[in-house]
Amino acid sequence: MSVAESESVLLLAEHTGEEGGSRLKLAFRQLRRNPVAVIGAALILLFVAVAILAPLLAPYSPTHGDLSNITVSHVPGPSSKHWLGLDLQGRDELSRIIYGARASLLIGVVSLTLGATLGMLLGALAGGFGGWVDSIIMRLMDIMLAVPGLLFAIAVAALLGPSLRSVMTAIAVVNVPVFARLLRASMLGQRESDYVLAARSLGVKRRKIIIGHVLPNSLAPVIVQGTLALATAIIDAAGLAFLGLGSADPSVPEWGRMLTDTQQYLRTAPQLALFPGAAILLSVLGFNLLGDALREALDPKLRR
Amino acid sequence: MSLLEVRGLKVHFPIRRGIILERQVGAVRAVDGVDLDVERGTTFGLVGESGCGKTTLGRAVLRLVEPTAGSITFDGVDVSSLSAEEMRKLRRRMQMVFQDPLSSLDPRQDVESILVEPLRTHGVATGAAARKRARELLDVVGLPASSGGRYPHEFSGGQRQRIGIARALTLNPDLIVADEPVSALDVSIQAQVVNLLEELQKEFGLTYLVIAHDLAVVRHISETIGVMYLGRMVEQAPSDDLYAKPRHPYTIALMSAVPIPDPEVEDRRERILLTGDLPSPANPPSGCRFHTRCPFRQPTRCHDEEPVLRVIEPAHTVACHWAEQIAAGEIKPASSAVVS
Ligand SMILES: Nc1ncnc2c1ncn2[C@@H]1O[C@H](COP(=O)(O)OP(=O)(O)O)[C@@H](O)[C@H]1O
Ligand code: SF4
Ligand SMILES: [Mg+2]
Repeated sequence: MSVAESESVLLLAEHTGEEGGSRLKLAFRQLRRNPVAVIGAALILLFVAVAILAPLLAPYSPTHGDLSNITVSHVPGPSSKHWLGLDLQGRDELSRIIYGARASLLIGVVSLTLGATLGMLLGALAGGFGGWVDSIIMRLMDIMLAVPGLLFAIAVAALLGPSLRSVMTAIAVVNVPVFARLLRASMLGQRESDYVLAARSLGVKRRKIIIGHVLPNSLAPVIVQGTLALATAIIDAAGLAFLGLGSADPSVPEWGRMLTDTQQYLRTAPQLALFPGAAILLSVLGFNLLGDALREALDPKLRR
Repeated sequence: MSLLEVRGLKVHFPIRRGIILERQVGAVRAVDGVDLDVERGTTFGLVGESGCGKTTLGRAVLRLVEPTAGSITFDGVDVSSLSAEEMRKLRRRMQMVFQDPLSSLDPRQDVESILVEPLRTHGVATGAAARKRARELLDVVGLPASSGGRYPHEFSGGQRQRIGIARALTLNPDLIVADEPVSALDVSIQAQVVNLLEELQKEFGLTYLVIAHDLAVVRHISETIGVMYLGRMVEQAPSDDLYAKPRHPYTIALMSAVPIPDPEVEDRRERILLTGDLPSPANPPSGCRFHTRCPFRQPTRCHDEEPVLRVIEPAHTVACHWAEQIAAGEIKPASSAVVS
């Protein structure tokens, strides 16, 4: 048509912004170039692989030990047979660290899935409906948030008795208001945007606007939070285990409890605090690094 | 009959205080009693400085914000009486082009799906037919047909605005409200987009309400221009009339800021400076709303009597008590406001 022809030459003069592909592809491309993201992802990959492949990787049983070499004043440190030495029960420390990844991953994934799902559901209802639905849900979330997270988790875990399940429930419950508020705030922000107004002016139905436009565009901060929440879950799980609220079976290796167990022996066997501490640190670091990089990649305002 | 008739339109945004017991403590009177008519096939240019209520007026016309009072008649139908569903159906005929083309496009939608969505929504076309229409529209606004699979962030500002225009055209509307359609674009691209709007108007017989914060943009494309100040229309006239003989002090001041191409005239003429900021629309000045900044302000009437919009020449209306005396040169601007 005439308009097209007269303008097409001029159009060539306008430069196009960025490389092709959807926003998600773009974010992914940016992540791959970001060393922080790569290191974070590598740490996470290592953590997940160790957890899943624990039976193949662990050189010894994590639950059975040989007490014959252990005395109050001497716990054998790293050697060629036991790379990280033995623990107070004469168990191979490396094998326990490797198996400990399983508990951390399990707690992290399960509690996050539960907490984030429920939280996002509530957040989406609040952000999608607004009005009194929003008021009721958000006041409830405020109440939950008013109690400090770890304290709340301790109460839940204490109430349900020490077990992995109560740790997961506790951490999940703590995550609910975090995700609910985040998704709601993000949705409210998107609802004010021009493209929602544009959709309304085109006669797109309210429900379709919320589900088709607002919700998908509100997920970026939730994904970032999900990554960071995994890190928090690992710390919380360690914290609860440290306080004796972890798994009911003390022989099941958990990084947090491994720290507790060595408390009195810090002078004789400092390595026993060092290794589980490093394991917690590295896995948490992985999720935090990736989370930060994700935040940068997904937020167009932080880009370049 | 005009395609669009607005009478006594008010849009007040309540100001609420208190967290639990919310109570209304006032209102932002973004639009405070505006009349306007837009004839079929013509362009009405709405100008006024930022914050004077232009966007709110444009959105109220499309009922994207609910009017507080007044009526909007579109093609003989009182828009404010329609149910939500009736309104949704009427939306096919009135569309909007936004100020910021990027934020008006869903970043997760590719261009084709942006253009197909309205067609599907109104059951106009689906599947291959809708995609064909999308390609046609791209052609109409001067974008390559291959743009369909690309995302908004991949385009330049001017191209994005073309996508926004194409979207506004999908349903063959009668009226398009264009809210500062070029003010977010590079100056070099503005003319292209304005030209495109003009050509589309000719081709499809569109009616435009074009909003701008400066007079230069709307000058050529508008048959009629309305000047807004703080929620009110202060002057309205055919475009050429308004440029040749602006009558309201606010318009005179705005006009004196528009550069004149002829350097001799440019050198000789006086510029009238507007001092101070736009007063708060939550608490507009008494009498004439412009009196706090008006270089022609008089000791009587201005601060205690609100001027109504009155006809001073055929088709030319002004809301100023002293318009005639100012036009005749009997009242001069305060010397402090004049720069030569
Ligand atoms: N949703 C809203 N709630 C409260 N105040 C608003 C809202 N939208 C606009 N306003 C206020 O109304 C006035 C007019 O705004 P607007 O219509 O955007 O002006 P313009 O488009 O001419 O710059 C401004 O003072 C603005 O702050
Ligand atoms: S009425 Fe008075 S204050 Fe208002 S525009 Fe006219 S001269 Fe200025
Ligand atoms: Mg505006």
